Amino acid sequence: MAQPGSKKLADFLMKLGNDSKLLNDFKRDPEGTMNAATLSDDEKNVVKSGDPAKIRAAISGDSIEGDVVVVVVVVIAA
Amino acid sequence: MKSAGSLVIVGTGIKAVAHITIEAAGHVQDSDKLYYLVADPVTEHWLRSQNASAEGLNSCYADRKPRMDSYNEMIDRMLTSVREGKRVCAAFYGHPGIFVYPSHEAVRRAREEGYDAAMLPGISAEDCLFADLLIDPAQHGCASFEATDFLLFNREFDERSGLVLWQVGLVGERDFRAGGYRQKGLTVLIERLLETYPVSQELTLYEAAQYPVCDPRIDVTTLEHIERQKITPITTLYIPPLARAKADERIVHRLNSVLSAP
Repeated sequence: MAQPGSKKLADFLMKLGNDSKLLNDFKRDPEGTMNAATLSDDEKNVVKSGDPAKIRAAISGDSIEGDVVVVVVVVIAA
Repeated sequence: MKSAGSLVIVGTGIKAVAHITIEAAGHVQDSDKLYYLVADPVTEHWLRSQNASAEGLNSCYADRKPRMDSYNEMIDRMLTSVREGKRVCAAFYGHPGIFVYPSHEAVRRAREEGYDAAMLPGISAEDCLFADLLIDPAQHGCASFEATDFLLFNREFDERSGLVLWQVGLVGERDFRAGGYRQKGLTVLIERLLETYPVSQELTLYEAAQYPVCDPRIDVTTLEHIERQKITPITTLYIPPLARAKADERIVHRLNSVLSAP
């Protein structure tokens, strides 16, 4: 597993979210782009998994099992 | 005269950071007090990096605590800061006005108390669904319901249009459950759908991508086999139109006569 609370991973994903060139680089060469961001092997494996639960767990430091997506719902007055 | 404090509600979209609008980012950065309720740590990381006053509202939730109590606590926190004269921004996951009770209620109460309050649009899960499944709701129409609401109020819909059911993993659940949801209500939802659709009806289980490195979940199955599939709190059900609608000849003639009149 990546180190709990991986700030580097959060920064990398944040940049991918608002830098289309970096995202294109990642799609073309994921390994090279992750190496350039100095991600550890564990962090790279989390990214490669494409599993949002693993990504959340690696960044927040919470366990995958205990990680629950916050869901806000409408109030139903039956 | 308006009071000094203000409230603006913004959405952070679904895909972490990528979906935040320029307009929303401006309010996140510029507010005196920033509250947030988001679903992922990357967005949280970004929000905290943009405004030192950032405070999560997640702590209002507790296991088995009635959701309504949590929502009222969130509203109280936001309004307390507004009443202190602060320019408050509250950022919610997705579109802040879709499937979010405390955002609407906070704006309503703030306005009632004489404060400036507004809600800005964000990218919703439905926006992502239309893009990922390549559905244009203008083509056949599309009805959209929260799954429990759909059942409880026996919502009427046209099976010749698409049907979107939200939160199919939370049918009948009233409380927040940190350990996950039981999905027992799904059986009742399937029974209701079988009143309209055949067991072989094709449908899509959809979850929007939460990170740029993830794909959206697009699993095609049938009503008959849906209970074998993994259903999570963020799973959405999309059922395509069952049949093509035919134009109403009476309306066609009526429109022609009205439109051709001088």
